[in-house]
Amino acid sequence: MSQSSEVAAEPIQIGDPIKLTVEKFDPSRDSEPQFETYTVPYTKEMRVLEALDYVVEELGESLSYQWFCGVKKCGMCGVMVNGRQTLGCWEPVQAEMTLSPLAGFPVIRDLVIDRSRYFEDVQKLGPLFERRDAYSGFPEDITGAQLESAAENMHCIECMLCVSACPANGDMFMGPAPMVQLAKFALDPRDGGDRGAAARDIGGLDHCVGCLQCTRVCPAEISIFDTAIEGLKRRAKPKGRPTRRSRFFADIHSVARRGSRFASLANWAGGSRLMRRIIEKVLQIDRRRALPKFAKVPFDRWFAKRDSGPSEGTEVVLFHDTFVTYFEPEVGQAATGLLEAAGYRVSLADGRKCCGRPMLSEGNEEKARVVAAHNVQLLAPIARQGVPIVGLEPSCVLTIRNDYPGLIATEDARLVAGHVLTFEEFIAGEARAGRFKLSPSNPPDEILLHGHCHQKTMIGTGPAIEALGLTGAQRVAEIPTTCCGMAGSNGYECEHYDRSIEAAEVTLLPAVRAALPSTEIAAAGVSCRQQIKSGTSRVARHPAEILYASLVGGSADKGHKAGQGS
Amino acid sequence: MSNVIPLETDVLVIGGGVAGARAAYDASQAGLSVTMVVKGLLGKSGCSIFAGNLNYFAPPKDEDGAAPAQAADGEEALRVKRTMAFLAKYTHYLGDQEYMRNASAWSQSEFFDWIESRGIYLLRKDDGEIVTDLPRRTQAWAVQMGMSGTVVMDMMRKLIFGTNIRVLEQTTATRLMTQGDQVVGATALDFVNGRFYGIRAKSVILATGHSNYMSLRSTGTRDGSASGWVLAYEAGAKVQNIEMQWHHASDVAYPASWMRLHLYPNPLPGTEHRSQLFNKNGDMFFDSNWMPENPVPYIMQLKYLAKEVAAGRASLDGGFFSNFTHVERQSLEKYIYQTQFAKKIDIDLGEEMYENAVTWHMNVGGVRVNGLTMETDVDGLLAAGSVAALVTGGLANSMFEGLTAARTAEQRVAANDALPELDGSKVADEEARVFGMLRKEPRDGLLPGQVKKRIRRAMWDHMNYIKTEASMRTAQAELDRIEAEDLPRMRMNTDTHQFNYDWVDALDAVDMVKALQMQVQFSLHRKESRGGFYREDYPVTDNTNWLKHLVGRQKDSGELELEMQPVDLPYAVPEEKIASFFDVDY
Ligand SMILES: Cc1cc2nc3c(=O)[nH]c(=O)nc-3n(C[C@H](O)[C@H](O)[C@H](O)COP(=O)(O)OP(=O)(O)OC[C@H]3O[C@@H](n4cnc5c(N)ncnc54)[C@H](O)[C@@H]3O)c2cc1C
Ligand code: SF4
Ligand code: SF4
Ligand code: FES
Repeated sequence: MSQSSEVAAEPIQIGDPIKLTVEKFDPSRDSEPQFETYTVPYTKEMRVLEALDYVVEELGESLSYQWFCGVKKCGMCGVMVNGRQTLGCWEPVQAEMTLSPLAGFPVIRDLVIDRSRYFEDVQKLGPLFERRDAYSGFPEDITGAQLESAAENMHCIECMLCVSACPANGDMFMGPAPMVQLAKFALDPRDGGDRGAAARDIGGLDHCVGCLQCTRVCPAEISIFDTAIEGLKRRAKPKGRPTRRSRFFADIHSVARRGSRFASLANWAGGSRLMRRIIEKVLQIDRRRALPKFAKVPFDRWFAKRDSGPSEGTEVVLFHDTFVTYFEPEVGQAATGLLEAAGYRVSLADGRKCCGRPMLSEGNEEKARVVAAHNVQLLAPIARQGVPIVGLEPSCVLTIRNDYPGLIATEDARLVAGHVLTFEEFIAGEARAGRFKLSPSNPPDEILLHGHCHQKTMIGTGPAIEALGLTGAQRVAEIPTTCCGMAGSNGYECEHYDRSIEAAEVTLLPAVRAALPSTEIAAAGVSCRQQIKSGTSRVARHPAEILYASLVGGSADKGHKAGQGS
Repeated sequence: MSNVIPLETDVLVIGGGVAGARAAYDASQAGLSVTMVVKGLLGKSGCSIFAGNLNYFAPPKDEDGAAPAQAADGEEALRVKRTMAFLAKYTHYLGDQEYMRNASAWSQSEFFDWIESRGIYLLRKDDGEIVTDLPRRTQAWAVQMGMSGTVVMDMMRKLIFGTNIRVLEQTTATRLMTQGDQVVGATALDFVNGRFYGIRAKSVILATGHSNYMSLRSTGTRDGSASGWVLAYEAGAKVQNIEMQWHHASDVAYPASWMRLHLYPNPLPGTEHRSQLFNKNGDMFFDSNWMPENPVPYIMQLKYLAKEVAAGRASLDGGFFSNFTHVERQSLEKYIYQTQFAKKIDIDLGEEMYENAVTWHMNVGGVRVNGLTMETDVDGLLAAGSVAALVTGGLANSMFEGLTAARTAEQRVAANDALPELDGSKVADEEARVFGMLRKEPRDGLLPGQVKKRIRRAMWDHMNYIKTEASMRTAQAELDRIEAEDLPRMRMNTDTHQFNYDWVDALDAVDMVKALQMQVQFSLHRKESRGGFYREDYPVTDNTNWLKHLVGRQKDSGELELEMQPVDLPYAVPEEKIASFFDVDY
């Protein structure tokens, strides 16, 4: 997919200043990178690469970067632009942009990276065509239709954007570009090499978590995951076994699960690069942000092992998303604790999959449909029994509510959609109906609520304010923010660090910083909480945590923090 | 030889485009030890990746799709004939016709087999037929129109990494080393870490390409600084016809880095329609289909454009447009690489025109070589590919030159047991020159990149497609000024050895000035217009007096000596003697 649709807020005019900040680093001389800022006048349809040329040719400043062709053929001009993998000669400049070397590669100098590992990897895989049958002479007997998907992969210019964006790339997995190189042959009926085996045994294909980041960044517009990765996976499997398509969130789970099993290791500074990058990619958090940490004990395990709650009472099913499960179990624990203290019987939506939001953001309806179908199948019986299904992450809930019926035109999908609730909606509704009756024991003075974008556009912040009112706080106010800045163009995809911090700086972060130390900051969205955490010294909490703290026990309740890594 | 790293090899190949890659590969397959020195990355730098079209002269089909009867007298012979007719016009009759015959025969009989057997996908229709232009069938494409060279070079890169060829990348040859009248090796700088090599070789193949980034707008890649001409010339080789500088008329006007994006006037895949050019008033002034049999529409475009510019209806830097709105969507969307670029900046080529500007492109001339062996006028030095003066480049031609050079090198290596010595003092002098450029003084001097820009501006302003004696003299004066004032004052912000591209720029700037001073002198000498070489003050193609090679060599005094040499025309002779430049169809 072309990324050109991602337009800057206001069109830049010819002559307008472009504020270009470049990360400069000479490993032979400097101890750490330095950032330098230049002003470059905009020219018609200016590409990122041209701004760099200007620095050297007009401003007379030394700067090392690479390019040969200027027209998306040599693959040498990839850089990070505002935290995003970008081909310099292909993408337009932005009014303010910070350029750094492609993430994940050793830096030779400034924006120049060392690609040698990739080139070595590719040679190891067997990068040459191996004819299945003897060559019959030009023109040989093949058709355009037969070669279509191989040809798509032949457009690879080895720009390394996908490798940089791939969270699984590392010691275990060569990353997407080497797979594309193999797929050129694997998908070509003339080729006889065992590409699937090379991909799996040498390339580490099984470590791909199917996050689609590669497809998203590829400037050659190769559907890397769909054609190359899936194509190779099909060939890497022993014959006769059904291919398991679209298991990617399941895969993210398994990786995240492994991460949490070795939480202390994973959280150790500079520890598992794989885990670190998965978190980055999945949460779309820039490297400069503080990363969330793996929980030592994932929420579902904590849940299974806890002293079981009431055996009587109204039943509630918690839809525990991946982030709550592996990164923020304290949110799930608080929700469970609160509900059980209020007399509800809580169970988890065991076997649930990712809601499908990431796939939808990628425009991949096919994959979203697969997980949606799975979840509908799981949740429909629950909904039919009238058991409330409550989610903690607003975007998950709203995806089920708003997108599922469009993805799956079944009665069940509509039923599930009409049935899921955000945690705040559920609590507010129950309180209104007189069924939620806990009274505050430890009320905070003031709560400032930052509403999640989806929450605001689709439900409004009313239910959250209402629910938070139950804490007995003297004041519950909403910060008049538009977006925390973590949400992107379509409101789901998290955007570049700088632009996002900029957006957050408009009202959110100053308001948070100005808040009194005793004030609780509430935010239901995990990305919003991340944003606040990295932009201020404050910690925002999910409404469930705040409610639990004031209605059930102190926030210092060690039991709830136990899951968090140190 | 303080820090010089000595290397020894049978064959030293300088350049990693299609010519150098094929030369190195074949020499290695023949059992020779081969070292490649590549300024950029093998198969990625250089203009081979730009070769969008492959000349494939299949027998034309008549209206109902049947192959015409004459194909019977030998399809291949016919293809060779058509290829040669094309090359004669492509070189404005200055090409080496004996070479052209061999290159044509090879490109039609072996080139496609060679690449296809190694997995290159030549674009097919869904029913399997090769996609060509209709109805004449002169072109084929690998993967997509515009991608041919890119995928061929990708394959060659991997092919070479599978051999034991020593490949020194991001390493630029700075000077050829001579011993007496013989080339015996070269010095080279690895600018990733500042290593300096002295390489001894029994045979040196120069394959540095030619589409040089010498003007503000150019189809050249970053590394194109005409250093090949300078290396050869300073080693005693002759340079020929380098005034024959070709420009592209229909490269996109913006964004600047896309100036290498050619909106082809060539025959298009799967359609009979061809591109058209419109002036700023919205009037069409060129349609490739006005002259469907003419094999060099890009030369004709320039001539028509010159008339528009003279009439004030277009200018070299824009104000005219390529039109494809009459071309079938299927061809635009499915077969042509260019379309997505337009789309990227919200231009739908099926609906809208795209503004063009003129671009400095390839050169008919270059290092003078023997077309049968690729030997230059200096012993031990071969030149292959577009740095040589045989033809105006081309992917298949350059590959042919590479394999021919490899053959000659094999013979030479077989005949020479001893590896010649390098002259230590020459190597040391060159090391001192190269490292002397790594300086931060004078403080108020110019970054080498700034100097390159000044050079390019001088060319754009005064040595553009439309030039006169006066404009060329101005260019010459500006080059002399840059040589006297700017080059000595080049400085860098840092003298690090770590990927210091300023260092490369400094070496480039020196070469560019030398090459261009030479080129201006050649251009001033030729008092006619021919093909891509247009002088407003001599708008006549004069085959009586000027169908001649211009040959230059360096005298002992260091000055350029120019002479005219006859052109052999064994196969194709131009029809006209003296005619208006605009009436000539090449
Ligand atoms: C825009 C454009 C479009 C074209 N379209 C077509 C087409 O459609 N069809 C076609 O057949 N041909 C086309 N050509 C021509 C064709 O691409 C070239 O003629 C041919 O590929 C040249 O190959 P080469 O190996 O001689 O040079 P290049 O491919 O230019 O390679 C030169 C190599 O030398 C290296 N080098 C340069 N200087 C040094 C140095 N000092 N030391 C070490 N290494 C050095 C470079 O890094 C590079 O690796 C086109 C050319 C251009 C520019
Ligand atoms: S889908 Fe994700 S994990 Fe798999 S190759 Fe692409 S970026 Fe890497
Ligand atoms: S697959 Fe796409 S992103 Fe990855 S290296 Fe190739 S062109 Fe670049
Ligand atoms: S400069 Fe070659 S791909 Fe961008």
